[in-house]
Amino acid sequence: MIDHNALVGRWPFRDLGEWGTIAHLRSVARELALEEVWTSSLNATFHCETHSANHALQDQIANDPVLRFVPAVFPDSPDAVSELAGLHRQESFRAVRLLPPLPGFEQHGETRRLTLQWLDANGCVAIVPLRVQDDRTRHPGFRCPTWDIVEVLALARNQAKLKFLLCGIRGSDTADHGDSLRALPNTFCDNSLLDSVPGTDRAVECLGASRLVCGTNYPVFYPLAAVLKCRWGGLDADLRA
Amino acid sequence: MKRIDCHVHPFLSIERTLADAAQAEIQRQCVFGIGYDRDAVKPSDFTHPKPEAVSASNNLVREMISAHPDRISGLCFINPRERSHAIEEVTRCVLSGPFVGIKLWIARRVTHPDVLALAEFAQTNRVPILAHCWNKVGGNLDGESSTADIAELARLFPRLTILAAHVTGQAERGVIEIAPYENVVVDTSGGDAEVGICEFALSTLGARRILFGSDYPTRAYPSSLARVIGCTGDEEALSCILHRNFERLFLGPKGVLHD
Repeated sequence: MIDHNALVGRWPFRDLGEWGTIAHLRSVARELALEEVWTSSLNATFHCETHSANHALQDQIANDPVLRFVPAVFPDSPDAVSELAGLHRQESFRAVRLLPPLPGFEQHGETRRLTLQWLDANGCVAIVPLRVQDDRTRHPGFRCPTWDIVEVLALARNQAKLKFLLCGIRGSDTADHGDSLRALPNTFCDNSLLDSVPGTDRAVECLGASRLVCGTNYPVFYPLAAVLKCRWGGLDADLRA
Repeated sequence: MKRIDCHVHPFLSIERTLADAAQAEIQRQCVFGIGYDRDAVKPSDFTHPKPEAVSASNNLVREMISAHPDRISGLCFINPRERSHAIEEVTRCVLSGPFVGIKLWIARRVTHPDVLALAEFAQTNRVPILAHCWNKVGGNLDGESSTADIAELARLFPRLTILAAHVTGQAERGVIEIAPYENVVVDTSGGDAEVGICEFALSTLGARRILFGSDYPTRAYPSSLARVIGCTGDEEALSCILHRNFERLFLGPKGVLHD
């Protein structure tokens, strides 16, 4: 089984102890018999400048038998393509985590298009976080930035050859955006937030088991949850190909 | 290890409910309705259902208990706005059996006089109450209790066992607010399966004040179990959370918090 959605680094809104360290993620992967864990940097997620965080993580998990480096970049950043190219030269990767535009920063449609083109040309999956934490118990000032599903679906429509992995989808999303998701075979969803029984049933009906993948959202969520959902629900698609 | 789920709704068929529990190796489920249990659409009065809808909920759970007494327990759902009917239902379902406690949802906050009257009755008859309770950053619904409300109820009725449902929707603030009141316990249902909240509850309240609850089928068993199994490796604590606390509070002598 592959975990397509994990992060390492310090989660700033709660003391998680050893959770979030590379050593702990390795032990979790071993315990849950995960074959691969696609791993991005939380430090990159919370900083405008992603370069140093990405390089640090790439060095730390280079040649790891299980952890697979997934760089995190702002697709609107003029530096995104050169940063990805540099990282790719050092060690190739299969996916890129796209960070949502930060409030107050100008968006560059053309730069974003070029970034997505680079992903497509290099056979990378675009990982887009829709939800990372429970918004109902968190003050808005203590939230991880995320994408709006409507914007992501528009990106997937415009980049039909590129695979998009939507992380943190809820069952209600497949009700509200079911037609769009059905019409976009290049969209895949992780199961990190498919928590209700009816919602999961609806997601399977909407997407089919081949478009639902394991994503733990480690270290914010317990990774056992996503793994059990796969084992018990037979949802274990693989985005490596 | 034995597993008892203290927080289950009868929204799906009994066959599906039992099958999902069996897959999760859960031996007993404590089930309660909320007044519109198998309807696809919320009625306009869903927060405070009419007496007939309340009784229908309880009758549905009664049927489940009768069919599977070895696997299903039940709580009596009531709408405290209908004071006399609420007392009648508790008498019919709990005092005459086989239900093991009372379920309060969002008709009234637990500090409302309607609920206080019922709490008096419950305390006198040693019937535990499970009360829905959240701390939502966007604000609770009109009749939705917060942990501050639960703390006030616990202060007023120190011999009443109160299960403040949804600790993962109450978060750290909620745990701190109810911690001083030993007659309050929590269940593990509520928000998403975030790391840290159950750990905080465990270190603050202790294992004897936490019960495994899923809120099935609103939450499926993988994430509900993961937050319990993931929060501690201590077998003694896990056995308290997964079954012993429920057995002590709901299946033993009525409303006994301290054995």
